[in-house]
Formats: sequence, structure tokens, C-alpha cells
Amino acid sequence: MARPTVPDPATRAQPAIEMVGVTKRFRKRTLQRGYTTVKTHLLRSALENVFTRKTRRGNFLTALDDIHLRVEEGTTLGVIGHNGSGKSTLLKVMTGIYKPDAGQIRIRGRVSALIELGAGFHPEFTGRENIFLNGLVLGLKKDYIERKFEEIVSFADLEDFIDDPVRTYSSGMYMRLGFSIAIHVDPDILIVDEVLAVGDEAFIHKCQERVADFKRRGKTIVVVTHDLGAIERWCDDVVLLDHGHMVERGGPRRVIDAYRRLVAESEERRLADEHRRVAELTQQEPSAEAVAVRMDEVGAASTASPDQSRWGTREVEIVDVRLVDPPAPNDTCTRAETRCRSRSATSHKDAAAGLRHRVVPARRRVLLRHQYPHRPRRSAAARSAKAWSGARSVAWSSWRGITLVDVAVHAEDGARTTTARGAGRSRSDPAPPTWVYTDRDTSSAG
Amino acid sequence: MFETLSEIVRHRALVWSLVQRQLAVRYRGSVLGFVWTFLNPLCLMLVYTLVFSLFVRDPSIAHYGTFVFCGLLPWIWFSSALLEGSNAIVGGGTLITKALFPPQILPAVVSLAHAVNFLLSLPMLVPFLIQADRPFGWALLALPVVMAVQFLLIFAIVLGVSALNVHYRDVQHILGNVLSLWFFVTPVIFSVDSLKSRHWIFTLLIAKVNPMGVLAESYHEILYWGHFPNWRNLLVVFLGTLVILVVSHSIFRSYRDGFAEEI
Repeated sequence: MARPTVPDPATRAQPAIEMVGVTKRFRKRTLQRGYTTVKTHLLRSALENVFTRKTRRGNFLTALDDIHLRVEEGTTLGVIGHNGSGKSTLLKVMTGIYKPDAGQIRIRGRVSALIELGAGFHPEFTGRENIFLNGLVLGLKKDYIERKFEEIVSFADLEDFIDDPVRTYSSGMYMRLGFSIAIHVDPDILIVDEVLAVGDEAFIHKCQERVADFKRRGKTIVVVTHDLGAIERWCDDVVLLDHGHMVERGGPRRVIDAYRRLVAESEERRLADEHRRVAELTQQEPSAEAVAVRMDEVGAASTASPDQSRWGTREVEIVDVRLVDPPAPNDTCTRAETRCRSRSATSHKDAAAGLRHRVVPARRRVLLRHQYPHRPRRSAAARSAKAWSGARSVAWSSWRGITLVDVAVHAEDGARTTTARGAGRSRSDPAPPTWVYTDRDTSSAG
Repeated sequence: MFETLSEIVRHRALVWSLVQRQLAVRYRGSVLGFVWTFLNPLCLMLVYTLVFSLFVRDPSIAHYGTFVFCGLLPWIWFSSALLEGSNAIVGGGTLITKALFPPQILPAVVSLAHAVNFLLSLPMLVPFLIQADRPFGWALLALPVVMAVQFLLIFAIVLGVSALNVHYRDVQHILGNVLSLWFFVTPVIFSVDSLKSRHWIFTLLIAKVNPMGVLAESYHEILYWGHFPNWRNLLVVFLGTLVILVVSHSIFRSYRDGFAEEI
């Protein structure tokens, strides 16, 4: 038979918090604050009976997905993750404010949650009255509060204001009072949600001292914060959440690195998305309707703010877009040339320009009439030392009228995009050619 | 259910300070302050006395104003507690969403605060009873019993309604309309005796099935006529109240886990 096993030191300590497969979902309806009313409920159930059961699934947002977590007594656990990754939900499940939809959670010891400071404070009441009320809400006994009263007040530095109504307090005073009460609960497990940064420097130090004291006394602390420095200083163990999943757990250094990687990845994804969107915008084939809209946009952009229709890093700026080699009166061909200027000293040999012409029938001209005052500034391009001539593009059109040009300049890998739009009138139209720039280069103006 | 209730008892210090808070909040910042407790029912009584002694006079009641007042005070307790109570949990705000707080405390607090208010308004009745030369007798001993039943009834209803109101926000509006109908099927401004000439079904519905009907009649009996109330009817109401409490509690329990999310 096996000899009596000596418990492994790692498992000997009882876990203070144990979560097994905890899952928490929110109804999207609840998140959107669309409350059910009796009327809508009746209507909905009636409709559902008539037109087969509408899918109710998929209406949930999973805030925590199958979380397994064991927090040993005496550890300080940090929880990090981007906004909406489920950090606060995790804390609320730990404190019991939210009930998990699946899974189990076991807590050993008294929990005090610094999730909302001063929950239940009433503005009309004095600080003194609110200390008692809030203390009772946090589960303290009345005589205990009486004993600790002086300590709470002096910790919050509110001796002079304790008999004034809380509504006259500054927000810092309010937070200090809330924090002071919560910290005097003397829990076994302290749960902190991003509240260690209340008050001025001196008070923050006092709070941190207090938390350090907690740690020394072997209490369990769970802390959510975006302050990675604090995580590194305080925590023995860090958990990284991403969209409700626990993606990493371990020492602060490693998990913080993982978090930074995650952030970098999502940033890259976002940039790539943006570039694709830019590319789509410059590539899309316009219908007559779309062009009309575009023209309008150009008008708005050029009259209101010249920068509205340009985006990208603007390392390279488009300073000039113009028709070159105007066709003969009955020709159907229009050619445009783009001039760009590099803003920085770095070379942009990998830059590529793409432009697209749309020719709008002359009868739509009225849309553009208010843009006539804008005059071309060819000289700007000429003066720029790094002036650089971009792509030439030919637009074929059987229409006489106005040519709309969308131009984008980008590096070969798609990054550092700069875009601009211009519109002009081809000479085949009786009126003289007029250019509208949405990319007026303000830096070189004058 | 006993767990739900014992939780309230366990937090009695908290409940009591919340009741104090609620009572204090109501009058802080108003000029007349506490006087409103008296002024409100007094004005209502004057209105009803004016209307009913001028237009539909009940000859069997000599001091109609005093009679109305005896029933009106408990009715105001009932209706205002229900109206405010339906919003109790939704109005709990951060207590529910940000603190671990047994939510059943909030309906209990509203019920208690209104009970205290009622007790404080009772002395106002004394000069009217003396002026109308009403008998003060042993029957007054039954008053606490009737009040206890009414308190339980109010709490039972508020517990369920406040939980429902979290999920269905129009419950409080529906309740407001129900209460204005309820007032006229409750013998506050008329006596049960005046129903004798009507169909028996009216008497049954108004004076027996309607729990507030039985209670209002009991108040009239005790305060105005100086009789003991009809104990059998009162017992039925008490048992009915227990049934309501059980139903309310099961509603409350099925919604309570969602409170923190839905508020």
C-alpha cells in the first residue's frame, strides 16, 4: 500500500478563491439598456408563437468563458487585459455580485471589494452618517464602526468636514472617505478594481502602504488595474484575460509581456484593416449615385476643412493633382498627373501612387459650382525640394464634364498611406479648367 | 424563503439605518418638513369629505370626515408603500450593482419606512375622534394586530413587485393604475354596510376577497365604531397574505440573480 502522502507544499495551502469552469454571459438586450416591458413581452411571445421560434441564441455576450482559477491564500493576484476583456466581471463574480451562468466558485474568508467606493453614500447625509451606513452595507457591526470611527476619519483626512453633508465634498474627499471605510473592513480577501489611484500623492502612498501591510499579514489580494508598473511591483501571480478567456497566467514579467504582445497584435490588425479600407475606397468603382455623393463630400471638405478627406500618416503629402495633356474638344480621354511631396527626409522609393478618375456628366455640374473659388497652387509643388511626380492615370470617358480624381500614395507594404481627392473640369467642357483641391498643403502655403 | 427573511433580520442594524435614511431624506430640504406627513392625508380627507358629504351622503355615518380619515390613513400607507416599493430595487442603484448586498432588504426598508410614517401620522386622528365623540375602548388592543397583518401584506406585495419591476420596467405604472381602481373598491370612503342593498357578489369581492377591504373595515370597526374587528375575516386575510408572500418570494428568487446586471 502507498505510504501516507506528504502533502505537496504547493497544494497544502488552501485556496482562498477557487473557480471551476466559471462562465458568465450577458444578454445583449441588457447591455443595450433595452428593458423589457410587459407590453413588449406579451407581443414578443405572441409573435414567436406565430412565426416559429426566432433564434434567441446568439443574443448573448460571453464575458467570461470557462475560467479555471485557483488563488492560494496570501498571494496577490493581478488581472490584466484590454477594456472589455472581462476583468471587472471576474471581480464581480468573485465578490458574488454576479452569479455565474455555469461553473462553481468557492471563496474562503471574508471578502471586501473596493469596486465602487462609497456605494450607497447619500449626498444629503453627513460624512459621519455615511460612515455608519456604508460600513453597515459593507457588513460591519455597529459597535465595530464606532470603535474604528476615529481611525477611519483620520485616515481619510476629513476631521474638519465629517459633519458636513457629503454633497459638499470634493470628489477626492468622497473617494478618500469611501476608501477609508472599505480598507477598515479588515477582510481576508481584498478585491481592488482600479481604485488605488484616488486622492493626491500623499493619500496614494498611504493607500499603498495599507495594501502592502495587507500583503505582509498574509492576506489574499486580487487587483485589476491598467497600471502595469503596479502589477509588476505588487503581484506574485498575474492573469491575462482576452475576450473572456484566460490566455496567460504566471509571473508578472511573463504575463505583462504577453499582454503587450496582444496589444501590439490588435493594433497591427487595426492598422491593416484601415489600410484595406483606404484601398477599397480608392479602388471602388463608382456608380453615378456614389459619384454624386463624393462630389458633395469634396465640396464640403474643401469649404469646411481641407483636411477632412485626407488620412494616413502624411509622411508623403499630395500637393498637386491636375489634368495634363488635355484632350481635344471631341476626345473622350482625360489624363491626370499627381505631384507629391515628401514631408520627412527619409526617402520614399517604395512609395506607390494610385489614382482613379471618375467623370461626371456635365449636367451634374451644378453640384460643383460652389467650389469654383478654389484655385490651384502649382507653385507649392514646384517649390518643394522633394517634389516627386507620381503615377499618371488615364481615364476614359464618353462624357464631357467634370473629372473626379481620388489619389492615394502608400508604401509598398501598405503602411504610411496618404490620400487626397481632387476634382476638375476637362477642357472639352466650354468652361475653363478649374481645379478643386481637398489637399491644400497648409504647411507650404504663403 | 426563511433564508431570505432571516437575512433581513440579520442585517437589522443596516435595515434600521436605511429606514432612518429614507425617512430623513423625505423631509430634508423641504420647508414644512415633517408636517407633510400630516398635511397630505389631511388634505385628501378634506377633499373626500367635501365631495361625499355634499353629493352622496351616507346617513348612517354621523361624522363622515372622521370616518373617512380612519380608513384613509391605512390606505395611504398601503398605496404609497406599494408605489414607492415597486421601485425599491431599481432605485437601490450602486448598492445592488457595486456592493454585495442582500436585495430583499430594500423592499423591507420601504415597507418599514412607510409603517413608521403611518405610526407617526396616527396621533393626528385623536382630535378628530374626540371631536366626533367616538368611544375609546378595549377594541384598540386589536389595532396592532390589524397593522401587523397590513404590514405583512405590504411587504409581501412589494417583495414580488419590486423584483418584477427590475425586469419589466412598466410594472410601476401598471401598479399606479391598479391602485387608483383599488381605492374605489376598498371601503375607505364608504362603509361595508352601505353595500347591503347591492348584489351579494359586490360584498364578497369588496369586503371579503379584497384584503385591503377587510383591513379598512377593521380600522373603521376599531377606531370609528369601537368594536373588535371580524377575526375570521382577518384570519383569512392573514392566510392569504402568506400565500402572496410565498408567490412573491418565488418571483423574487427567480429574478434576484439578474438584479446586478439589469439595473
